[in-house]
Amino acid sequence: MKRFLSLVLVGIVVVGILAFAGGTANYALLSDVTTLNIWSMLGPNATAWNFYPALGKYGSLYSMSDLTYQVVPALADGFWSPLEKVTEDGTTMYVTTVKLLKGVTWSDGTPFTADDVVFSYEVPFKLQMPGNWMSNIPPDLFVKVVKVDDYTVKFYITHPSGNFIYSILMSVIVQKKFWEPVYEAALSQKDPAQYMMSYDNNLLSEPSIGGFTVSQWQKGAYLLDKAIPNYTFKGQQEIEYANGAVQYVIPSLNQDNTYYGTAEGTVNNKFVTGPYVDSIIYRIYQNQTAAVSALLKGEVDYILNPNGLQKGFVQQLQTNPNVKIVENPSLGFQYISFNMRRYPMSLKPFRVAIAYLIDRDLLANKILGGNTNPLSSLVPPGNKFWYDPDLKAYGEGMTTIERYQAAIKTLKDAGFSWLIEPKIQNGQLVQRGQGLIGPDGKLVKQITMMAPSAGYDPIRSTAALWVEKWANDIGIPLYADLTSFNNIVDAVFNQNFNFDMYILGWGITIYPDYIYEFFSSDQNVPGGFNAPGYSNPDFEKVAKAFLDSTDMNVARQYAFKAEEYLNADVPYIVLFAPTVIEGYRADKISFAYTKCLDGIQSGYSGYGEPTYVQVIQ
Amino acid sequence: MADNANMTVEPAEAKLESPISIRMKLMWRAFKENWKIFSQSKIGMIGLYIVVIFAVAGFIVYPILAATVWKTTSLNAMVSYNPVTGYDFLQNNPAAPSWAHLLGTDPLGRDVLAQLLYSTPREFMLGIVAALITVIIGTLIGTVAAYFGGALDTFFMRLADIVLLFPFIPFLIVISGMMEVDLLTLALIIGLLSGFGGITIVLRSQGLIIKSRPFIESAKVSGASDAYIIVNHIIPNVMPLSFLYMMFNVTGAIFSEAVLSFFGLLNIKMSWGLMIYTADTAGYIIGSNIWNYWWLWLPSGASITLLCGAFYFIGRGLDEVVNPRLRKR
Amino acid sequence: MLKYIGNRILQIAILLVIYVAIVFFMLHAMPGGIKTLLISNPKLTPQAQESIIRAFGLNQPLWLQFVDYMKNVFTLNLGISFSYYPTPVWNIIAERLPRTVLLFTVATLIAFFVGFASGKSLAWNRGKTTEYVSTVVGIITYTIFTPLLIFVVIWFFGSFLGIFPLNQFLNPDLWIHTRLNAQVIFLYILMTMLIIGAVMLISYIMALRFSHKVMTRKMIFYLSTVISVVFSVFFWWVSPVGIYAADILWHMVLPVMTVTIISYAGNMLVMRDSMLETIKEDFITTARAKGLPDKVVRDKHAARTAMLPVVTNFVLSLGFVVSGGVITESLFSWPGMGMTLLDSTLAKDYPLAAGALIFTGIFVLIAHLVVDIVYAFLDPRIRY
Repeated sequence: MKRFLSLVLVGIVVVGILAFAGGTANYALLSDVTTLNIWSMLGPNATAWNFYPALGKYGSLYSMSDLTYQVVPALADGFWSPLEKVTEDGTTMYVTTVKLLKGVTWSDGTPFTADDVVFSYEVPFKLQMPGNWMSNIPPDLFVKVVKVDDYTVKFYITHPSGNFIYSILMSVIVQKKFWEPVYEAALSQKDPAQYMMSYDNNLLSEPSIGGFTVSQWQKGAYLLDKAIPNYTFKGQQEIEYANGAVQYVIPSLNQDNTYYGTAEGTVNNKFVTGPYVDSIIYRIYQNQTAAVSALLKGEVDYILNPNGLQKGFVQQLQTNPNVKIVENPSLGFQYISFNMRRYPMSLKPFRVAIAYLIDRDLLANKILGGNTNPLSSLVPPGNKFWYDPDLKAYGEGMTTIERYQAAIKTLKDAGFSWLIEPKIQNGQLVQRGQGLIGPDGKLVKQITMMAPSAGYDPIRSTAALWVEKWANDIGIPLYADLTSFNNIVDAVFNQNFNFDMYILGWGITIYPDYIYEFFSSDQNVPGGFNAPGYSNPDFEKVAKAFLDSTDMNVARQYAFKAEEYLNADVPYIVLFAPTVIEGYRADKISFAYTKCLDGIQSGYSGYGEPTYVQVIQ
Repeated sequence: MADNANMTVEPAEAKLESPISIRMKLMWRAFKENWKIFSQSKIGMIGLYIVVIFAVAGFIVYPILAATVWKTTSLNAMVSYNPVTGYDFLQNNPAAPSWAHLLGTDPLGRDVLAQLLYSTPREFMLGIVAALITVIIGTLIGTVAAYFGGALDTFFMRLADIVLLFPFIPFLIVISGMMEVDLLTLALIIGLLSGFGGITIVLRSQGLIIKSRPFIESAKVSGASDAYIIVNHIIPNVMPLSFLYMMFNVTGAIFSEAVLSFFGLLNIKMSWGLMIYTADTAGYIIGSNIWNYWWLWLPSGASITLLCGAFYFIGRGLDEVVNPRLRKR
Repeated sequence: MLKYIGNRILQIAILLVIYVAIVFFMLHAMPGGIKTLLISNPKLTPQAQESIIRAFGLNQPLWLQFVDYMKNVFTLNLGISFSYYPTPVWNIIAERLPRTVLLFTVATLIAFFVGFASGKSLAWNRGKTTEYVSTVVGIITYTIFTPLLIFVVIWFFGSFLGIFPLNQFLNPDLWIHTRLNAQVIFLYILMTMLIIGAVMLISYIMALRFSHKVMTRKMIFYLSTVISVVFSVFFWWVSPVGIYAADILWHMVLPVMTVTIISYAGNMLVMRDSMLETIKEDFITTARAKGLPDKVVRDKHAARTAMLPVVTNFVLSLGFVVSGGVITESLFSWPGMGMTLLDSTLAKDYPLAAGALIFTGIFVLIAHLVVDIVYAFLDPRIRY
């Protein structure tokens, strides 16, 4: 009874808020949108700018909860059934049943059914659409999806895998009714995938299952997103409890479900889905200076930028009391990679010595002026579920001199020697090392570390020069080659790992399947992701077990073990986790939350929280 | 009207037999005469002064400073004046000008004055190398085309047409996007692109004029070879014009490099354009930041403007030397 | 005359072929390429990469790609853009082109007239202080590092005065209420300018034919120009789309002003030099000796002849209209050809970058052709 009353109360409040809502929010983009075609957008045209205004139109069977990033049903009704092994025509497969929510409609009134689901998987799979489609529906995992009835489907996959959950079940759902005629026409073309990806005729009238639809696109100038009045999930409440449970109440569908626990105890977060605005204008600026000027002037309320704001812009924005600055950790890291196929990078003591030398804290906090954050693990701390706080990097907490000492000792113990040995006396380096000699008695030749040039990224280039300095101080013949991003990528991935060491960065996902991808033996092929050439059967076993687990708690244990191997063997030395700094006009709009991984602009926050943002009247 | 422009005319026979010393003396005399005319041009002199100041600052002052005041004394120094890898741990960067850093520091803590001076000789070398290549190519081709005429002439003039087609800066942009362009490569590219272009046409017309002068005819009659005539008669008379164009080419080269660096397209460690790029992308050229952080863009921007302008001024001054019709009556 | 034009067109076609060839080979000889773009996403499986390589046709032999490319350029099929896949390059260029053409045609015209007028009076006032100061100012604005000037202009009009719009080419708040496509408005404005230009040309020719008296000629010319301009303005005023055109023009003010400041000095100095040369000519001395007023001698005799190189300069600089002063476009957020060139290069979108480059080349070639023809008309000594 009490719960019923509180629900009614909340409902009234919700209706009240929604009734007074309205207005237009103005967001800034830093580059024009290149396409509104969903097939192309998740294919070769996958850019952040395309996603921001348009990806919200579509749905998926499952998604992640706000801020806690737990897998929750979105268009599905409840979780998928446990995987069962079946054999069809001699092939072994695993099958699971997914029920769909009843009563969800597209913006043109068409009901959402299993037909849409089957269409959204079969078409990109059959046509082998490139890009995100192929990684969301991997051919080595996905077999088929079958309609059981209007609100039930069965998925068939080749083997259990975490990617089934995080890739396949989260793949985008489009409306069959709109796209079927295009698909039929495409089938009679020479290149059906290209035909579908180039389809451009009436995309503005494509129905949406999200809170907004793109209603106008003035190329080079702006896009206009209009709120959908009959959005099925309008008024949905997401309640997150301290005990880890997540509760979803969908008034329009009479649904009230709780996952990962019971709906009791302290409430950490409560979010009510809008949209609260009538429309959002995405204004297009060509550079940051223009966008920030617009923010200062009040022309826009918020800037969407995956890289965040630079220090100077932040300082300028701070002069305006109406602008609120938010800082969040980004979902990515910057790292040094060794080429373990070459000598002496193949020797673990060498890599460990270099690892000891690198003082991330000094680099990030002092030298780079706090413009980035030190990070030593492959999973950033913001990804709370997958972050292992017990991992310690080599040299953590040591001073520069202690680091020198540790590195020298490691090398010595492994049989390295010098022409002129580095000497430390009274806490000072009094003699620089020169001429490193390997355990085989031969002089070690110059090692080249490619890094981005100062013009491209001052942070990584500065880091490279310091690593070079520290290495040279104790006699390691390291040379920092500052060059263009393209050159590095070309040398590493196109020229069959033609490098000694390099510094780059990765943008990553919450589900850290990259722990496997970056270091597995089947990626140790020309053009593959295993740039270091890491090959450790123990690691391989554990990493594969991680990937194949569909129970995330089990998966996590395996992931931690895998990270331990990587932390000890250091094929990568992770350096920094950049921060994302954003700014918005607190006097014009408000968001549901501003402390989140990868910032408000992140896909995990709905690309700018369009269904949560409110215009302040 | 006396033809007082051409100071190197002398009897053809004497030229064929005279030793180097007479040649030198005559060149010196010509130089002094031209200098007198040039020094009357206020614009040209201003340009020359500016160029000299920059040259001294870049080639003399900077090395001295780098070796004495700015040398890093210890491995754990709190401040380093290295223009590329420098830092300053004692201040909040970018810091305003102070006694420690006469022009302040940039967002990464590097001394701005050091950056400015470090880039100066490089800009010089870029401009002069590019201009030299242009002029050498242009002179050779222009004179050869003028002298021999015919198919050779048509070919080079058509080639010059194509090269003139190339929209200069866009072409450079696309090239820099596709390959590693550092200063030397850039100088080569600019030199090549300009060398086959407009300058060839101009020098060819001048060459044609020289060719029609009577002393050429008499040289031929006296049995001089084609190469000899080109090298000893035509080219020296075309040189003033070449030298003039060289000045404009230096301006163009420095300007092009600055523009490309400003967009972050080049692969160089430090240049004036790159300083402005760093300031712009870090967000210090917006709103009130522009004036609060003036040292991040004003010194470098002013240097580009001044050096480009200076060479241009010298070119204008030389204009009056080379083209007597422009002189005041 | 016709034979000459035909001859030139043929030559220009050949030049274009060579130009395109050079651009093409430059594209494919460079390290890095589309593959690097793909690799930076760890979610891409090798199969996915294969699929994209297939889609872009990167696995054909080089010479085959070249032949195809050449064929396509001449049918305006400049390939498919990488970053806007699968939009054809031509569509993107067609969308951006009017914006650049409008901005820089207007700017170049204004810069020309300002330069022409100031160069004229500058040369006439040789030796006086005003000449000196004006030349210096002109040279400063000519050599000043462009971004610097733009920073100051943006700051001055943006933060300080706050009047003109600093970026973009239209105001979304105005345009969200209509279904009009901005590109259409651009084209209409360009068409209006073209019509006015045509009217001016026709009236000039008619005036020449109609009367021998200078006064009448001038009257016909100026009258028809004024009428056509007034008529166009009136037409836009009453039309429902007029306000949108006005919005675009309003956003053009700052960029046009900047480009004018940067480039007027070029025209001014060329005009001045040319005038100086002409002034020394004997016929000017004669005119002065005859007792004609200074202004008449300057305008009627000296300027007319001096105009030839300036006209050449003007038509040639129109060719660079398309390359768009990349700097101006990028700093003013004006998404035209220059911006396209820069963005496509930074994004390693080779088809688009090459397309933009080729297009600039085409434009310059056409400008060349026009120069030759106009020169032939103007200079009676040249007759083919």
